[in-house]
Amino acid sequence: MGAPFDFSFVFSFFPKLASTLGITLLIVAGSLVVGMIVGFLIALPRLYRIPALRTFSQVYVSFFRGTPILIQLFLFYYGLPEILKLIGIDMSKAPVLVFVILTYGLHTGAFMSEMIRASVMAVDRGQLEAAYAVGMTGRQAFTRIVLPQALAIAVPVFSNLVIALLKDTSLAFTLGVMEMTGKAQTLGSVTQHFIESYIALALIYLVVSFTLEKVLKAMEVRLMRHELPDTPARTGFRIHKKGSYRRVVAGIGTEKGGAEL
Amino acid sequence: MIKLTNISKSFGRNPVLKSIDLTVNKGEVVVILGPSGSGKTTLLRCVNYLEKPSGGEIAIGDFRMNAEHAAKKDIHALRQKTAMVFQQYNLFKHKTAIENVMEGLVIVKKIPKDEARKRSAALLEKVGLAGKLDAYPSQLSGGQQQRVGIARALALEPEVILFDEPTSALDPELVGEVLEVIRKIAKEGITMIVVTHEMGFARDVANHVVFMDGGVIVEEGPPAQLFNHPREERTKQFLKRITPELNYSI
Amino acid sequence: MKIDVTFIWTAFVHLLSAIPTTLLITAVSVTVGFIIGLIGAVVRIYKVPVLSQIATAYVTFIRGTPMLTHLLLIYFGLPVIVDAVSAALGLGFKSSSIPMIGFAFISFSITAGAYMSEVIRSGLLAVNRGQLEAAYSIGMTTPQALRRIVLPQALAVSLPNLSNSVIGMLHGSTLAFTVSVVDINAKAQIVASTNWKFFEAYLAAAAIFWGLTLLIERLTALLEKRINLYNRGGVA
Repeated sequence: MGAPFDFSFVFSFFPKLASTLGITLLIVAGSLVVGMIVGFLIALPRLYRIPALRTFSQVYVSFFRGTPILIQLFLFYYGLPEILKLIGIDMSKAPVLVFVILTYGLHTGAFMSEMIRASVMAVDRGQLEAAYAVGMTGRQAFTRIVLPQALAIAVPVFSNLVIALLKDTSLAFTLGVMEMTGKAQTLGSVTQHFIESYIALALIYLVVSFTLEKVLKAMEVRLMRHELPDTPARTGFRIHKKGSYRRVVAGIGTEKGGAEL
Repeated sequence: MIKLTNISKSFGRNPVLKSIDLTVNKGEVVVILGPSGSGKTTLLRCVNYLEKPSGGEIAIGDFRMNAEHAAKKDIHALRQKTAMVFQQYNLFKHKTAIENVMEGLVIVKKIPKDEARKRSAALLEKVGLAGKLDAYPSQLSGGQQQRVGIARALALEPEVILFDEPTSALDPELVGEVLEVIRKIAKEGITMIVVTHEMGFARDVANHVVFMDGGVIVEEGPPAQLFNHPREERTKQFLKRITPELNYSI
Repeated sequence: MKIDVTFIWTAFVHLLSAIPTTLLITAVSVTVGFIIGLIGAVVRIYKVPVLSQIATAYVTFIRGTPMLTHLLLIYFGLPVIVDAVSAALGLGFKSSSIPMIGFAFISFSITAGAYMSEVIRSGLLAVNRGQLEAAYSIGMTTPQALRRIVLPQALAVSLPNLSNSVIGMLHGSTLAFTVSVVDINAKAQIVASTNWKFFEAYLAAAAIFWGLTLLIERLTALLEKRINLYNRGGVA
């Protein structure tokens, strides 16, 4: 199968694959923007317990967490134009990339909403009471006290979601988008050096996710500077102490998956 | 003057406060005693509406409000006239000691930052934390955190400060430093309502002691009278149980 | 083109035949992945020289790259290695005799192993140190303490995350189509393109996956209830 293994191809593939990194990152960034807006809108009815909308939010989250992203991609690619046609919008000319970003955005939105919800609920109730006790209004208490603390709690989860999203974008090629994975396949079949091409591909993903993780980690450290700095001896005790925070991360899942209905 | 009239509160069908009347004069230190479950903390939390009373009236100075049908505006006004020191300190975790004190001044009282910082620093110095202005709560001991909590309450210059078992969560060796600070500000004539188990403190500092049990005020009076010559049987029993362990704190 | 509601049902019935394949891939990858993960977690917690570095590199690489690349690397790389080893040892084994689904099993197990290693590791770290000390104090050896005291508690803590891993693998199994294994997703593709009814076919596939996911969640909840009986707290 294919030509004999030749490591030098890995290097020659790097620049060729890197030229499509832009598309991959565009999908990631675009879906993050869509995802954060959707996530916020979906989280609100559940945080404020708005009756009917709350059920909608639950079903939304359950569906997007309960079905594979690959199925969602096909479903929206084929289904969205049909549905929009019913209300008179013609999407048949829209580029595939739009569907891809929209689908990843809606998908990530479900996870984002869970992240927002869990982080806000993880902030100690005493913090809100103290804010009221110094005379703040509900809005002031939320924006000045609850939100900053919730953000700090959310960052590690957010970081996981961004990296999961990056990895998920490798499926966009199934709809014919020429992002990195698609490009790697093309390079493989043109040169018959599949293994080298996929090694190069994997390495680029590794570097990108590693970089993203480091950047977000720095952000987390900044937002969490009010917590005690890490002691060199990281034992079970420390994790135990930060119980609530850990539970949040565990609750949403460092990984994806889960439907929760 | 603070006047609570006919305050009642139920959790579901369970009445915790049964039409309480209480008057606190300006500059007075009122200590509320009682076994756990007597409703003393609930009463305190009703004063600044952290608990919504089921009925009654709250009046502070000229300001009065119907506790059952309170407008948002009234709740906000009430909270500006009161301040609270919590059992679990509840310092804002993401803000330093001085930022905790400044927060209410800048956001609620709209005092310019420089001025607020100056006042906050002075208050922290007063509670003995001049060297800890920029420490985060997680870097402070329980006693230090509670003293920041007291400075945060003082900063607002409220008509009354509510203390909700301020030393109950502290390690025994840290109780003294916090009580010392409360004692000091009590002498300055600040009106306070204190829920506590510290009998020695109540005896020394209070002008007026209230004993609650089962959601009602069983007996009240000056400390000398209540501690030395309690009239009610329930008060006697409570004091008998608690006095041998003067430093009792949980 | 209009939405053909009755075809959703037709597709649904067609897809049922592919459920066992999907479940088999998921079950194999989760089971093997759990074993790999357990070994990886223990090796890393006890900082076994060399092995722990290998385990860390493995986890970092797998978690930093898409599952699809693992599958592609195994699919193209494994035969080369197998044939080379087989030739060197003079065995008659040919890589072409590996069934297609075998690549999915191997690759997905490797993927699952890395994720589960992280889950189990954080579960182990969450167990209070006092538990281990108490086990030593009654004379247990380290393996005894791990097996009888620490692991059961760690697994109880990790259960929600393990369940997420299982669901992740269930959803990930849709990648099997790239190595021509006919799972639910591949079947949906076939049904869709032969009838030219893509939306309906994928709707049916989504419904099946949704149902399976909810089922896993329910089972987890039941399991959690049983496992966490001791965790209830309170006095009664």
